[in-house]
Amino acid sequence: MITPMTIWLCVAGSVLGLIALRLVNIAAKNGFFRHPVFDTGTEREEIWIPGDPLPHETCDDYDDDF
Amino acid sequence: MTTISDTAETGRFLCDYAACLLRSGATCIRLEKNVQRMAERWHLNAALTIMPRNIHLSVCTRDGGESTMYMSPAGPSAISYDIVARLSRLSWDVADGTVDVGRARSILAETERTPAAGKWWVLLAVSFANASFCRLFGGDCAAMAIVFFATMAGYYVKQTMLAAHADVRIVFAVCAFISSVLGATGSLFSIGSTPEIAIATSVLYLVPGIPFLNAFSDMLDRHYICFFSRMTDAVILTCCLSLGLCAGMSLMRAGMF
Repeated sequence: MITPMTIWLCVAGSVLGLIALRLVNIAAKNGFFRHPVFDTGTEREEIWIPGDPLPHETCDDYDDDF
Repeated sequence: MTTISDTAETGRFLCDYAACLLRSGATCIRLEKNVQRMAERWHLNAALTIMPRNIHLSVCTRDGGESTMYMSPAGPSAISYDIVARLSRLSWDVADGTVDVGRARSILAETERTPAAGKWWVLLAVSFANASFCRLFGGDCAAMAIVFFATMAGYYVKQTMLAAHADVRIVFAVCAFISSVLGATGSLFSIGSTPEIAIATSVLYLVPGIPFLNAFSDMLDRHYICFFSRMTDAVILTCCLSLGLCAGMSLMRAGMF
């Protein structure tokens, strides 16, 4: 039997679902999911010590930065 | 001395200008006054025929030169008082002689590209406005909070559906249904002392006020074709709103049902 409570829950749930869907879409468009929360890093990242250059930074092989 | 090419360029501009005004929600009297103001400055006689979806403009020089007819489609209506205000200012600048046709044309193009108001700000402002309406009608704080969230949900769905190019009549019925069901939260969970005011005011944001006002303005100015068109549009939207509200109220077993 359809009760007012059922209707209310359906409508409220649908609106919340729509908002969640839109937020996921916006996040996907902005590249949120391109950076996974859990990921296997490279060997360089695993033994990275604060002060080391980051992987994307260019470094010269001979360290002769005059 | 006004040449034929000048007249053609000016006539085309005036017609596009009037179409942009009509599309942005200006009344017929404003269209006529603004166009006449600019035509007088450029020493032209302009006769405007305003149809619900098109603008017809007949232009000729004051010395009785050849008359030329122009037509511009108004396109889908997108009410923006910001654009209406800018175009009115443009007509005064032209009348003052500070803007020529070429410059007026570029200002018109720039004005047409005016971005719409931020949708999140509009969503918030409409929700607060509707909650204030609830208070004006005697609702308590709980009813105001319910109306705020019911309006926010309904208006968000409206923005989403309109962005997906859904039919505006269906959008109005769906949004009225959602807002009325959510507006019945007070009576469903026994929150507050004025749940019936929350239901009644939860759909006020959907009332097509500007089309109604413009229709009456056109009627007073004896532009009966535009009056009937705008009034019919407004009445149809109000019927869709009522349909959604009645469905919501009957399913929630609230009020008169």
